[in-house]
Amino acid sequence: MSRTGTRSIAAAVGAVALLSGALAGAQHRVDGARAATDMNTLLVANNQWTGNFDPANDYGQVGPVIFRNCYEPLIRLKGSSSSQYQGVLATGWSSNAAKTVWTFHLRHGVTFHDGTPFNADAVKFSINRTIGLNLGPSFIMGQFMTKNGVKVIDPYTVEFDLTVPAPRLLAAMTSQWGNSIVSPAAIKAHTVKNDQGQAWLASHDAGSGPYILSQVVPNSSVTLTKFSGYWGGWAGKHVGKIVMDYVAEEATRRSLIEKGDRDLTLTFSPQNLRDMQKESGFKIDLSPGVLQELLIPTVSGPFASPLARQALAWAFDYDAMNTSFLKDFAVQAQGPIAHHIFGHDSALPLYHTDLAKAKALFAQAGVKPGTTVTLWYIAGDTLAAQIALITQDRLGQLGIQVKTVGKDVNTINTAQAGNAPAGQRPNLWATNWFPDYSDPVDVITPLYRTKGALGGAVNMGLYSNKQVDQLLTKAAVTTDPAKQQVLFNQIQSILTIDDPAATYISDTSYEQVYRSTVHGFYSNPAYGNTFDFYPLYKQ
Amino acid sequence: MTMPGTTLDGEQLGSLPGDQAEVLLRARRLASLRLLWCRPINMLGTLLVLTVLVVALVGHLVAPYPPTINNYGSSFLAPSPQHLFGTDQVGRDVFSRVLCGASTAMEVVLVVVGFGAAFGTILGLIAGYVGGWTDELLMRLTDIFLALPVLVLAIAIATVLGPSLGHTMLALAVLWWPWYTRLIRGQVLALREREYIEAAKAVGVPTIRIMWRHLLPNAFGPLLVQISLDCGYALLAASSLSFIGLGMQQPDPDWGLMINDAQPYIHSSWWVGTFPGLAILLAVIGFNLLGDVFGEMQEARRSR
Repeated sequence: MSRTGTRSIAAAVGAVALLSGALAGAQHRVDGARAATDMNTLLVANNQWTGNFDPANDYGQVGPVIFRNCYEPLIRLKGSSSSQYQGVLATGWSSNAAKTVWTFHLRHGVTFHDGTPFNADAVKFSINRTIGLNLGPSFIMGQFMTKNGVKVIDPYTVEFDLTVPAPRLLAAMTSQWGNSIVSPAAIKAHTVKNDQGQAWLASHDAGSGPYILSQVVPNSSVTLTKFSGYWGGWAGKHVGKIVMDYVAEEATRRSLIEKGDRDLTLTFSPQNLRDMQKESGFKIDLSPGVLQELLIPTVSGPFASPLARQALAWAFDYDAMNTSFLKDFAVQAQGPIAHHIFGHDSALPLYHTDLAKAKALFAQAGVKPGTTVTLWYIAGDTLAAQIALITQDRLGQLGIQVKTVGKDVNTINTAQAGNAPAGQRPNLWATNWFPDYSDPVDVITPLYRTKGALGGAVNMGLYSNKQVDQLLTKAAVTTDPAKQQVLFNQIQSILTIDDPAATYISDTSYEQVYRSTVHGFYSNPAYGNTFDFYPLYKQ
Repeated sequence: MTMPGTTLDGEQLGSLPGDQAEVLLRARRLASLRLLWCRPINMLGTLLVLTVLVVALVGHLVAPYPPTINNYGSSFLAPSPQHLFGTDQVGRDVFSRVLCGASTAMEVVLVVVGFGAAFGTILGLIAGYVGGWTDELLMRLTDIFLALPVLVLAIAIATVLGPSLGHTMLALAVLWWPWYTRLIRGQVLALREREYIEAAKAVGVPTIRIMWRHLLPNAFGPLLVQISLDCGYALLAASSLSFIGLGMQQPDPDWGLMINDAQPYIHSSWWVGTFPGLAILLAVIGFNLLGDVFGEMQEARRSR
């Protein structure tokens, strides 16, 4: 053992390191206002990361940044609208009255990054590949058609023959997941052992978008450079290069954008946003919320009874979350379908905090004071951590002890999508959800439909209500929007009042922060946490 | 009277006439104790540790607010006369939580270092005194444990058992003993050849008694130095585990957990994490300075 002097110094240094390291967040290399110096390069800090940039594979929040800029879909949402569609690789479309056959006319003169031309075969190939690989995003189109549902009518016309009527097919086709068109030639050239180019595409791109994925540093950064052959052209102002890196710590992201070491970043707690709003040098974009903060009970044990789940909803302190903590950055959620999404029921009654009612309902449900429940949340998710603290406090006042456990994002994601029985799940999940595209079916199906072939992919609470399932099936194929709305109102009433699937806490906004030198920025609530780089320029 | 430059240990003192030995012992203890406050740096160490101990004992009683009750209306208040260290994200008083966190910190220190020192000392006594195969076996076992990175293994144990303060303490305690085994074994090896030990053996004093009455008291000085230094280390290790979410859980006050809570808010509300961080810093420095003082006492004793 080395002697006292060195050890004391080491320990003191350790203590200082814990203090300063913890407070300053992860240490990041700061080169000093890098963003200001190079006007042709956009520097972006992302709060999450992925190891796979294959559009048929990644179903996270980082892949779509690449999909939106290196690839192109047939259609997308126009500007900031969540209901107007805009053709990208498609120039026009139509459907039969039953909404089972859809025809798309394709854009001429589009070239993929490998130099091959875009045509109807590429559409067929891409959709087949995504559905055939059957990975995360495959259901986006796979829910409507089989692998061979795409028919090539001529080189610039395709027909989708669907297995079900799909009145809201276009909404699904605007999703940032599962809709990227890839170059068949590039995939075939890089297919190894029949993997359909998966190994190669994890760190390269095969799209036709304005930027090429030119470098991937695993778990660290990606570099995009402009594709000179882009069909949209490069007239006007654009940036030629984008470097996006992974900065997990919120405090570090704030430092980087404040010092001018990044041009663009995202996701901050309201506390930081409020302070940043007083500063100059950058702008804060708040997309109205489709992101919903939730407290989801596992339907078993203490929360088996609908009465106990109603009690939970009455016990939660909505003001503590929405008024004290989130302030101007959220509104109280009104049922499972967030404001701003088609199908939202603005007449649905809102819960408010009523501990006496909660106590009575828990008693009726047979949940006695002294019960202990577990609550899981993603460690580092500020809002989920706040929900955990509020829940612990409120249920604690009713004599129910809440053990909160922060777990890393991968553990939580795996557990939420996994098949573990109720006994191996926490009693409560403090979590959030946003739809894959602006559509009510896509909000409810993965979260609240009975787990099985037709949905419930992330039904973490193992919620099951036959009436909800039947109404969902009916709503998905109802072509009249007014009739659809009636069905969604019924579904929301069950999920919120009669047999609650969750305590719906907040509809929050996405926060994207960019330096004042960046121009052309826009955001779309349905494309939360990703960016469209093509219209951006620095000046 | 002793010759200058020679060392007296307890047994040799025993051979002096009673009153002389008594006077000498007292003078020596006094001289040793004076080291606790004779220099500013020593005094600082002593004061810091005393403060932490007192706060750990009475913190709950003097805290101005309940440490675990949320008060959403007053979240993120900056330090003021009402809230000396400000409030956190759910409106809890940071000052009260820092005060109450001291008892958690001392509990960890007591359990981890206490268990480590006790267990390690027993094994060290056995290894050093018995020698032979027993010594070989125990030392190789010690080597294995010393080769393991404590914090990484503690993280593994706490992860498997599930995050809680008890599990953190258990994880650290089972890893904390090997240094003590080595230390005590070394001391015992030096002492066991002494004449008074030989004499005790010759007159048939039982082994346990030799260990307890003759070996341990003479190895106690270095042990004390080690314990004091380790208190800082154990506190740091436990805080690190709480910081990464494996130790103390919400809503109970713990300095490491409080820094974890504060992480997203360091720019907007610096006080939430700074004060628990300072508490850890000062406590660790205190224990280390005190360890140095104990080390000086040892040196003084040797050179007298």
